[in-house]
Amino acid sequence: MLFQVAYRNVLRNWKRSLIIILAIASGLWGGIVASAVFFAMTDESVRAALDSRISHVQIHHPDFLESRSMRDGMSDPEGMLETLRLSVRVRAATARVVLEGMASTAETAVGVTIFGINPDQEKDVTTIASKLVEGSYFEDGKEHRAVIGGELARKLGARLRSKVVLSTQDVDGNIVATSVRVVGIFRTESTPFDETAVFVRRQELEKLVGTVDFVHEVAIVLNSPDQLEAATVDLQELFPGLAVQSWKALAPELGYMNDFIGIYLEVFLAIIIFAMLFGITNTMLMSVLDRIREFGVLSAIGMKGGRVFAMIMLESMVLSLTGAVLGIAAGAGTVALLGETGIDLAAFAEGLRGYGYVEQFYPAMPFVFYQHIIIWVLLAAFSASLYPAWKAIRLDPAQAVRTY
Amino acid sequence: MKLYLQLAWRNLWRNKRRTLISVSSVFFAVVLALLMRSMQLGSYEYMIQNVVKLSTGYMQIHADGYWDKRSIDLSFTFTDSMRGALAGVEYVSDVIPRLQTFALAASHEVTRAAMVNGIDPLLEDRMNGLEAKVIRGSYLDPHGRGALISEGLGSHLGLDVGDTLVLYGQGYHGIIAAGKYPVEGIVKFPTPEMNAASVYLALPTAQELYGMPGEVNSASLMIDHPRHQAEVLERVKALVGDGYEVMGWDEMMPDVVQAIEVDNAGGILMLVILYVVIGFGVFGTVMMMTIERRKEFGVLMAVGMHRSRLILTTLTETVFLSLIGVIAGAAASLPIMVYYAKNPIRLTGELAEVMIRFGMDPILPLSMNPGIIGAQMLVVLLLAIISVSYPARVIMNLEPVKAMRA
Repeated sequence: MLFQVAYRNVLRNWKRSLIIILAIASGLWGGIVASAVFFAMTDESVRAALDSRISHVQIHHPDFLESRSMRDGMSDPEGMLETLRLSVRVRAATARVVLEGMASTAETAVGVTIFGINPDQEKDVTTIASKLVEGSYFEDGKEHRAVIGGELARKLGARLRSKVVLSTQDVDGNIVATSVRVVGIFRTESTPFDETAVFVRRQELEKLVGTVDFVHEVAIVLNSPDQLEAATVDLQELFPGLAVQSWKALAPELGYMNDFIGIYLEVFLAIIIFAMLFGITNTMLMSVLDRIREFGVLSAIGMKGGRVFAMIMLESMVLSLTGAVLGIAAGAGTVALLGETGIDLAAFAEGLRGYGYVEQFYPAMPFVFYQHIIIWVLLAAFSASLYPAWKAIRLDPAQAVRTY
Repeated sequence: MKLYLQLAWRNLWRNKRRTLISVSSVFFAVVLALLMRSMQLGSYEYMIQNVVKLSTGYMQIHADGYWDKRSIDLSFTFTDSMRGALAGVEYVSDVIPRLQTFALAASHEVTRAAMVNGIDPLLEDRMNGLEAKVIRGSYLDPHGRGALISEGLGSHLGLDVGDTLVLYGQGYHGIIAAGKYPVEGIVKFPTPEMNAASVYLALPTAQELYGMPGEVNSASLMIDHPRHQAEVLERVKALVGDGYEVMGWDEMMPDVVQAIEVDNAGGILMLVILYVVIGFGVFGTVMMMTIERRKEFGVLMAVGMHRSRLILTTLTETVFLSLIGVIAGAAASLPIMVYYAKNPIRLTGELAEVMIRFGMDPILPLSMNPGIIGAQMLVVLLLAIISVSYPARVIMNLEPVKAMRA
């Protein structure tokens, strides 16, 4: 009964109701679409970073990440890979030699990280092979070939088939150099990586520095990435003396990026909902003040204060929920549409890549986000109508009927 | 005119409660928008300031093509007369020469590629406070043969103050550059990349290492205020003539500019959404006022008030109402903005870590740019004017007799 009264009251002044419903709906619509865009941008950037560079889990000598020294490596990579292949957690794994060095051409010299890889294994672990903008991924089978980042190529003034001299330190601490030919140039979502990464075949790099079967990094792709922590623990048990770390530990900024955007979006939604709360309070308060006489009459004929209170609360709930349903429907629809077409910020590619953001992405919003919104809106509607409802029952009926 | 103002003002206070409710919604909108915007613009100003100080300066002079190639061969002779001429340009506060290139830095056992910066120690310190970043040993002597190395490089190479650093690399036109330098001091940078691999030498020492006495790769200019950048850029271009490139920081680092543009677009989008919500609130209030006052409008028109004057009165009322909200909002936000511009919020936790990794001190200064307040005022006034379209339509179609009877 009370619900019906509330519902009719909402319809009675439909213009006022429509305005507040539109305010809520448009706010939520904008909020949802903007959040989905920012969320997708971060989420896809993090995934791109994992796919192209970091993978899910990496294994190093415990000192390697700190020292970056060629001596802090791991022997018997084939044995390690064999062990990993037997684990149910692991989808693919690869072992790399990682050396700090310098790349130089006749024009200039640049500090680089040289990765000695097994191209066939690497293809199963990272997406670099599919990120080539020029050339191929060690496909000609010849020796002394290198695949380098696009920014590095630009800095070095190197093109496809250019010769580049790589120098680094060998196992005895002497400086050694080798000349390689650029056969592939790649472009990831991260400019800093593209500025410093050089890939060569592992055997060639080992020969240059005088080691055999001695790697610095084992990168692993998991079967189920959402069981990251459990998998890391499991893998650590397989290699007790080594540092087994998840991407969250390896690249904390990516994890923060995820967390940060989450907080940012919540704050943003809170601001919008706060603004809505004001709209609801204003409208309900005005509606209550306009209807003082009505409330006077209602209580004079015996309606209890509690029921008037509940009626006002219900009215604002009906208003807010209608707005919320409309807003969420419109928002979810727009997000689905954008998710199909995608968003391309190619015009800002340089700035985005400098901070490791992808330039093309497909907005999407996890379902739980919508649940949050509904809870938020209900809470806001509830607290927004407390004061107007309280105001309505505090009026003295006789006074109200007479004065207004 | 005075009459309308008076009339509008009195109308506002006839229903005090309703006016206060509407004013408060504008007030909160302005406070939220101002703080959001001021925080965002503040972070950009801070970011630019940081980038400019720590890397390029407001603009740089290079030999033609240097910025694209970064080749040590693309250098120019930096004479005292050139320095004098540049320093003489109006608004230029400092001219900072540098010779920068990569070389291998080595100790007895370990080698790593490092950025070797040949600098003028005094000028560099004035620009980016390098001396204060020394954590052990002493700062560079302008004429000394010592080296300053970053903390990360020192621990990687196992070098500390008093040890010998070996530099080995490619010099001018491909000659081999090699030299031994005593480590005089260790500097610590917040940026991991800079902290991992930076070497500083006094400019003459670096010039000798690379076999290019008197030559530099870049001369950075600091100016007294960012707003003079375009003007100074033009003058310097005319001054140095052909064979040189003169680039502003925004031209040298388009990625920073774009990152700011993207973020700014996001911020503006959010403000638009906020304002749509607020706009509906203001519109709703104006609508309510109109509906309730149909009778009054009818009476006024019956006694001979022209429709256009009535619209003008309601417009004035709405503008008054919004202005009170805007002014109150600005007055409430301004002290907060001023306070946090002077005493930036110091971030902690994970967000701070991210900022450090991107090379910034983890603080969040608010912008005091008065333009923000002006912009918010304009937007809110615009909303008020749009809202008046409703009463305007009602008044245009009003039939006084019907309205008075209702």
